[in-house]
This record gives sequence, structure tokens and C-alpha cells, in this order.
Amino acid sequence: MIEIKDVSKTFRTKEASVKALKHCSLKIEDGEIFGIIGHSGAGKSTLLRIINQLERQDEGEVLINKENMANLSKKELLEKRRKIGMIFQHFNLLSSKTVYQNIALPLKIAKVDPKIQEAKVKELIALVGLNGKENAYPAKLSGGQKQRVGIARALANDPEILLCDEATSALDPKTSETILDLLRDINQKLGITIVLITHQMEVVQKICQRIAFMVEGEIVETGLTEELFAHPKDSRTKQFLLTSIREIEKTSKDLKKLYPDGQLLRLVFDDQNSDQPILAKIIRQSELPLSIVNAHLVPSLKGTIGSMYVHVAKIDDHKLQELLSLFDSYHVKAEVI
Amino acid sequence: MAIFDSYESLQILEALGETLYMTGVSLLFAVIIGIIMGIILFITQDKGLYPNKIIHTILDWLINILRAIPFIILLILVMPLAKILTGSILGASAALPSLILSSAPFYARMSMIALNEVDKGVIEAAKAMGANNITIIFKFLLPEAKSALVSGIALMAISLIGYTAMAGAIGAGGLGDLAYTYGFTRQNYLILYLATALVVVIVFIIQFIGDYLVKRIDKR
Repeated sequence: MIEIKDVSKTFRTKEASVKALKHCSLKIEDGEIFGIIGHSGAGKSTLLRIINQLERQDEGEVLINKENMANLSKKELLEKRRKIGMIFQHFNLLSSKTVYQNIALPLKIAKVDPKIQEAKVKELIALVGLNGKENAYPAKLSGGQKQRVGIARALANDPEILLCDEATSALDPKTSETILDLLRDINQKLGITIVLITHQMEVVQKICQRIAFMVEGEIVETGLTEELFAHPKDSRTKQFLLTSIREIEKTSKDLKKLYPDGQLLRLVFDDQNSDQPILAKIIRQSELPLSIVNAHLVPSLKGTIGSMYVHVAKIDDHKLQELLSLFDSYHVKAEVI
Repeated sequence: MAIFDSYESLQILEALGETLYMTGVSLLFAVIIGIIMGIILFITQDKGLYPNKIIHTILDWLINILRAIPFIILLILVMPLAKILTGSILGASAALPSLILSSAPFYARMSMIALNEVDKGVIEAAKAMGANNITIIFKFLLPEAKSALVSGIALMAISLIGYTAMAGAIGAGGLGDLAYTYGFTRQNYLILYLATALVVVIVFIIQFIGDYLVKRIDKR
């Protein structure tokens, strides 16, 4: 069990100090797949690195199987880290070493008997489905294959915990799916606790049993995935969910049925542009009769943010392009659906 | 070599040997000293593996000063040291201290750059695996920086050949000396051109070998 108790962390530079974590507490049970979700800069990465102490907290405690990480000596910490695997968004493989050598590295560091090393690496290569790629260099592999090497490397010393740092963010949706399937397999086969951080809603929806939602260094909500998605309690969670891909897909599909003719546009308003009467200006400039057919808008500190769908009954391609560049000039993200 | 008499032929071969000797020995020492200095620079820098501002600043200054002194002046400044170490201020061995002193800082800077170019994510992955700092340096950083380190050696070998020619002008021997004393001052232009051509050929060979090795090592 991983227990994070009231952990705070501030990064200080000469110019400013940033509170990356504010009194975060979490309990992650053995064998579960736990997701930490939030926008970039929310502190997810720091929280993940607190678990294996790549980052040290200023306040609070981290306990793994009741053992306080702060009480470990330097050497004990290094040994403990061998039992906590980690995979990364950009894989972080050694470009000068083959697939085999990359996977064998953690075993070498742990000074495992060379014969056992060989057997272990072969077993891992089979587990992640990279047979035949043993002697390939990472540069010759696809993104998905690189992450498989990363996973095999992370599992080399039979860890109890696997930390995933945006492990699928650099991959296309299809490859992402296969990597997530692999992670779930590993979790079931080996019983490893998986903690993953992501900004992608689909990732947590697909494999996480429980999730924590982070905003600006705070854990605002923790719960079972379905429950948190269906009945978010915190307003910031709600807002995040409104922009979720699934939501977008569903809304788009519904609207297309309602408005089979003309064009539908999805607009995204963020903090930069939301305090201006943009839509009014654009309607005047384009002289197009835009009608708002759906909107999810939430007040924020600087204005109103969220997404909006507009419909135009009659428009040719040329006018449509003009309209899109007009939105662009107001820094509103617009896409035809 | 029918166009040269036997004495001249011997002179040319001897000069070639001296140039290769000076380049080879100073290269070896400069790489060893340079890479150690480069690693120290790398690990002591801000956010390095062993941050230490004092050591870093001192080393940084030392390297800058040595690199700022023009080689021909360094040759003269190092003469007393050469005399202590080799017993003479003339000959190929006497030129070695100044050659090493001028090229080691050059290689230190290059190896620090090579180490800095290694993806920071690799270091993070190493730490997450439970690697200690020594392991990180030898099993992660140096292998990843290898191709840049090797291309640095080729670059430095070539600049060392230029330096040996300069050292020749103050009595270290070698092809530079041959070109100057026999070729230029005695107006034996054939020798001058031949010495020059030999230097060019050596440079080409080094570059070729360097490129070949880098191509083989670099798996990116």
C-alpha cells in the first residue's frame, strides 16, 4: 500500500516560487490501477515522483508498505527504487544500447547473476511482445515498441509498483490502446500496483479502478472512476469533465442528427479570450447567421471558459475558411464537426 | 623517392614519425585528462549529480584561461616545465607538455558539451532504476555520449597536428619543422610542398577514421 500523507512541495527559483503540491493525501491499495488526472502543470508529475522520491517533499510523509521513505538511508532508497518500476512519456531508453541491453540494465545495476539475467530478459521480451527485436536499437522502433521496451525494463527487478508518467501521451490513439491493454494484463498477471498520471480522460476511463483529480497542486477529488465521472462533486472536476473527449464525441453525434444540413462548428474558449464579446464581433464581421446550438461554459477567475457549438445553415467552402480564420484571429479554437 | 637523396628521405620519414609521435602521445594524454575534467565540470554544475559551485567555477576559469592563451605563447611559457619534465627544451618530447596543456582543456569543454547533450530523461530513468551516481556516469552517460566524444577526439587530433607544426618552428621537429627549416629557409620547395601534402593526408586519414567510427557508434 502506498500512503501519501499531507505532502507539500514548493519549487523555488531566483524569480519566483511555485507551490507544486499543497497538502496532498492519497491511499493506493495493493494491486489496483490508480489514475491521477489533471491538466498539465497541476502537479501530477511531482506527486508521482514523490512516490519513488525522485522529488523530496517539503512536508508530509510517504509510506510504502508502512515504511516511511524519509527514514531510508541513501543506499536503502536506491534498493527500494529497484522495486518501484517507472515508465516515461518519452520512454527514456538508451539510444546506444539494444532492446536486450536496455532491458538488462536494471538487472546489471542490481548485480543479478548473468545467467538469471539472460533468462529474465528473454521472459520480459516475450511478455511485452517484442520477440525478434532483441538486437534492434531504439531508433529503429516505433513509439509503441519503445514504450514496450520501457515497460519490460521497468519490470526487470520484479517491482511491486509501476509508476507511469504520461506513458501514452506521445503515442497515437491506437497504439495507446494496445499499451494500456498491456498494462492491464501486467496488472492482472503479476499483481503489480500501477499508478499512472495522465491528462487524457480516455486513459483513466479505460484502465483505472480509482482516480484522483488534481488542480493546481491540490487533490480535489478521489473516487471510483465511474462514480467520479458520473457524479463529480467538485466544480473543477465537473469543468474538466465537460471538455472530455467522450463528452465531445457524444455531443457532436447528437448535434449532427439534429442539424443534418449546413455546418456545425465547435469552439473552445479559454482564459485568454473569454472576457470579450467575440461571437458578436464575428457575426458582425462575417455577416453570417450563426446560431448557438449547445454550450458548456463555466465561470473562471479571468472570465468564462468552456466550449460552444454553433450552426450555420448555408455556407460555401470559401466562406467557411474565412470564418475559421476569423475565429483564429480572435484566438478561439474552432473546428468543423 | 628518387627525387630526394637518401639523406632527405630519412629526414622526411623522421619528421613524419615525430609528427605522429607528438600528435599521438599528446592526444592520448589530452583525452584522458580532458574527459576527467569534462566529467567534473558536468557533475559539479548547477543541478548536476554533485553540484559544487566552487570546484566548477575554478575549473571553468582554468579551462578558459588555458584556452585563451595563443598556442605559440603557451609554448614559450611552458618551456621551463618542459625542461623539468623532459630535461630539454628541444625535441618532440619537449613539446608534449604544451601540446597537452593546450588541448586537454579543449577536450574538457567538448566532453562536457557531449555529456550535456545526453537526454535528461535518461538520467531520470537511471535514478528511478536505483542507479547510484557512479553507475549513472559510467553505464548511462558515457555510453550515450560516446559518438560525440569520439568525434571530439578526431576534431582535436586534427587541431593537434596544426599545433605540432607550430611547435616545430621552435625546435620540436616534425613535419612543420621540416617544412620551415628545410623547405622554407633553404628554399627547397619540393620538401616544403611534400611536408604540407603529408600533413594534409594525415588530416584526411584522421577525419576519415573519425567519421567512420562515429557512424558505427551512433545508433540514434
